[in-house]
Order: sequence, then structure tokens, then C-alpha cells
Amino acid sequence: MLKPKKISKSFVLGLTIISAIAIMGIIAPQIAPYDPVEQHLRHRLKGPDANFILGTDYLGRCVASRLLYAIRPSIGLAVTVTLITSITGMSVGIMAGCCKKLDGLLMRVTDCFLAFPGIVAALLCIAITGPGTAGLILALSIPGWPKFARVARSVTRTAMSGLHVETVRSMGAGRLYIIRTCVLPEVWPQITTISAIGVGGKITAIAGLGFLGLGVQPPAPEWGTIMSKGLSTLAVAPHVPLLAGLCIAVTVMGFTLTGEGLRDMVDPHSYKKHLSCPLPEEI
Amino acid sequence: MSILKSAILRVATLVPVLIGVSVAAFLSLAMFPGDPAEIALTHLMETESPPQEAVQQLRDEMGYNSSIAVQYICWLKRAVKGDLGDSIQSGQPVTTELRQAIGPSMLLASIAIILTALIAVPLGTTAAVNAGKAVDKVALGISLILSSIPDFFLAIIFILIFSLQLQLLPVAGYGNWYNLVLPAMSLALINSAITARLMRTSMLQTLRGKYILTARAKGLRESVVIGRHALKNAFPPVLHYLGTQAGHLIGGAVVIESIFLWPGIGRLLVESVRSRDIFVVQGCILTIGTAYVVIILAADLINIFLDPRFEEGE
Repeated sequence: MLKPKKISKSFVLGLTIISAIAIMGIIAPQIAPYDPVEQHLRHRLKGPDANFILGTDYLGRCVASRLLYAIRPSIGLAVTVTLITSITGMSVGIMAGCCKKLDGLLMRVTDCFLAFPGIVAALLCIAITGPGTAGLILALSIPGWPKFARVARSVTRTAMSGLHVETVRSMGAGRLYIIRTCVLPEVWPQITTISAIGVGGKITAIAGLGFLGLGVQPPAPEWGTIMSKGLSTLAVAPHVPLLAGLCIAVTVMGFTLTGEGLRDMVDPHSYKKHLSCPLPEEI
Repeated sequence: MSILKSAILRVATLVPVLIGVSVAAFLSLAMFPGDPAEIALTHLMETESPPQEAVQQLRDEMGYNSSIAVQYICWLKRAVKGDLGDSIQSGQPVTTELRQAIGPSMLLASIAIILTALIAVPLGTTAAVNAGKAVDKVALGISLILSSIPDFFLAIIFILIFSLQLQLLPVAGYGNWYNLVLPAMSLALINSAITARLMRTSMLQTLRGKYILTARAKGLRESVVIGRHALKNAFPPVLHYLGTQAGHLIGGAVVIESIFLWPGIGRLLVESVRSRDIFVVQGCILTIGTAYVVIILAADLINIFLDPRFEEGE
């Protein structure tokens, strides 16, 4: 499956960032200085000081604790949604790639889903289900899978046209066997790569919906909600939205770096092609 | 002839998508909890519980008592006539609200896309020409950072710097050109991250072409080789991507429109989702989907006419 010749640097860096953030999220109760929903009304909108290392928000809640606890819904939901979408998309894509009769229909359905920006489809789901965790997972899963389906289909088609598939088939192998032995090993690395990059996108989407007040519901800490609540006190306490934004950006960057590193390792040829200048003898 | 043929083919492939968009909009109403006839009447008669006979009559009129396929046809007929129901919030017809919102959204999207192209094309080209050198690495680094930042975070940073610290631009609003600067810049900078990367890859591939070697061998200046010969072939994939981006900005710039109180279709959608104003939600979905299809089509048609590879007939 994944047999990289060289471990890419950005993969290591990305994985380090993600692991550090994930561990902080898991041990949040131990390292958070305060309860994330506890209000200290006498210390509202304080900047960073000795008591509150990252200051307090408009209700006097400790920003550091809130940011730490907010790792859980963001990464947890994003990974769940990515797992759902990648498995769904991969199944649909392989089906479309293997079965010519289904191909046209499935790809037209995929086109329709791609006609809406992700956040619009998510908003539509939330309009129907109402805000909440289940609604949020559904809202992010429904617009997410077509991208995976597209990639899985094109890789499957390339794999299916290979001579080895022809050989295996002529030896009497069934469709499922071909998918398991010839198609999945080709599809899997590609899907893993775009999944890793996709988690970053999902974190942004969760924060965006939280920002609009339609994601994780307060008082539960969530980066997007922290940002939108901090927006009204931007002039007095700019550290609140800025820190939340920084958390989102660093986490997303971690996943992007991991994904890009993975891609370079899975497909070293594309990496070289992108980075290096065309050599004269190649022309 | 071949240009015309590929243009017609492109239009034909978008018809199923358009049908899909209308089905999605229709289903959003059908799946919405509550009876649309009752919702409409509650608002129309200004009572909490409209009389059952009236509800039944409206259900018959709107076709809600028949099968789902017939309901869809009925709804589509009304939608084509421009009747999408009335907003529960404002009481205005949904089409009027949409007409008011689509203008600002299109203005914001087009300015943002033009800015994106103005940032991404030179940046990507410079990076490709200097591939592997320091300039390229800096450009790739900037692109990585920008692609990790959510657009609303950049918007907040901009508000903090330009509105609160320097007091150059208003925080939010609509109506003057200076209201447009911050939302358009936030969208453009974030979008240009990926676009610049695509431009770089596309340019790198083009620069490997033999005609580039010919052009250089002829003794043309490097600026002419890049600007005239290479750009012509490297730009079409980027234009296609820009088209997709523009399509997604109509209605997709939800958070930016909400922060800057921009009266576009994205904000209308959020407001209507918040107040569960289903007729407006449905209208927004229909408009956003259709706008996307139309913009993609326009981008592809421009591409067909721009791409020099189409000139020779095949």
C-alpha cells in the first residue's frame, strides 16, 4: 500500500502539529486552568495576565481553557465527517468506475451535488434538521462525498483498464476479487491523501457554521463561536477572536501539511514534477 | 464549426445538473418539517391555527395531495412563473427578496474574482519561472499559510487593522465602493492561494512545451515568451478554476457577507435558515445552484474561445 522511499518533511511536521493538538484536546481537563464555562464576571475582557494566561472573554471565561476544550468538537467532528464522506465517496466512485451502466447516473448525481458550495448544502441540511451535533454531521457529510467519488472513479477506471485486471479476469476472478486486489490498493493512497487535506476543510466549515451560530451550540466552547462572540468586543479585547482564529489556522495547516506530505510520498513523481524546473534534456 | 460543437456539447451536459438543482430545491421544501400549505396560511391569515378547510383547499390548489412527482411538476410550473411563495419574515414575495440580494452578491463575487486573478496569475507565473529558487519557496509558503486561514479570520484581522486601528475603512455596510474593499480583499486573498498554485503548476507544464524552446531559440525576449506564448496555454485551466470559484462565491461567501453585513444572497440564506423561513431558503438554493451552473457555463465558453488549441479545428 504505502511504501514511501523517503519520509517527506512536511508530513512529519504536519503530523507533529496534529498530534500535539490532539493530545492537548484529550488531556484538556488536566491542563486547562479553569472550567471552560465558569464565568468570572469581575474579570471580563481582561488581556493575558498572571491569573488568566490568555485573558478572558465577555463573560469572564478563561480563554485558554475554552480554546483547549474547543479542540474536541472541532477535530472529533471533522475526523468523523471525513471518515463518513471518504468511505461513502470511495464506494460510489468504485461502483461508478467498475459498472458502466451506473457510471452516467452516478456522475450526474455527483455533478448536482457539486453545484452547491459546501456551506450552502450544509445550511440547507441545518434548515431541515435544526442545529445540533447530529445535524452538523449530516450537514457536513452530504456535500463532502462527491469529491471523493470523483477521484475514486477516475483512479478505478485507470486501474480497471490495466492488463493485469484483464489477466485476473480471464483466470475467472469475480468482480469483488478484482476490486479488492487490483482497484483498492490503487484507490486507497489517493483517498487517504485527500482525506487528510479534507479534514482541514471540515474544521474550517465547522468553525464557519459555529461562527454563524448554526454549528456547535453555546455555551459549549467551539472556535467559530468564540470568534463570532469576540467580534462584538473586537476593539476592547482583540485577543479573543485572534487566538481562536490562530487555533483554526494552525490545525488546518497541520492537516494540509500532512496531506501534502502524504501525496509526495505516495506519488513522488508528481512532487518532483511540481517542484523542479524542466530540465533541458527533457524538452 | 468544432468550437460551436463543443459549446453545444457543454450546454447539453449542464441540463441534468439544472434539473438536479431544481429537484434539490423542491426536496428541501418537501422534507421540511411542517406542512407548507399551513405555514403559508398561518402567515397569510395572521392566525396561529388556520381553518382546516382552507388548508385543505390550498393543499389541493398547490398539488400537495397528489404524488411527489406531480407535486414536483406543479412546483416547477409555479417556480418558472416566478412564484416561489412569500417570505414568512418580511411578507414580501420570495422572488423580490432574491432579486434584491443577487445584485450585491454578484458585485462582490465579480470584484473578488478579478482581484483573485490579479493576485494569483502574476504570483503563480513568477513562482513557475523561478521554480526551485527562493522566490518560489516564499510564494509556496505564503500560499500554504493563506490556504490554511479561514476567510472570516482574515476578515477579522482586516477589520482590526484597517477599520479599528487605522480607521481607514468602515467596519461594515453596503452602498459605497469603500464598503467593498475589505470583503472583496478577504475573499480574494484566500482564493488566490490555491489559484496561484494551480497557475504555477499549469505554467510549469506549459514551459516544458517544445514551442517554448522554439520561441526562445528565435531569440524572443523572456517577457514575450512567458507573457504571450506560455500564458496563452497556461491560463485556460486557471480560468476554469476561477469560474468554479466565482460560481461558489455567489451564495458561498456566507460568513463574509454576514460579517460585513453585505445584503447578498448568502446572508439572506443564513437569515432565513436561522428563522426557518423555508420558502426563502428554497428560493436561495434554487438561485445559488442556477447561478453556479450559468457561471460555469460562461467560464467554459470563454475558455473554448480563448484556448488556442481549439483554433486548428480539433
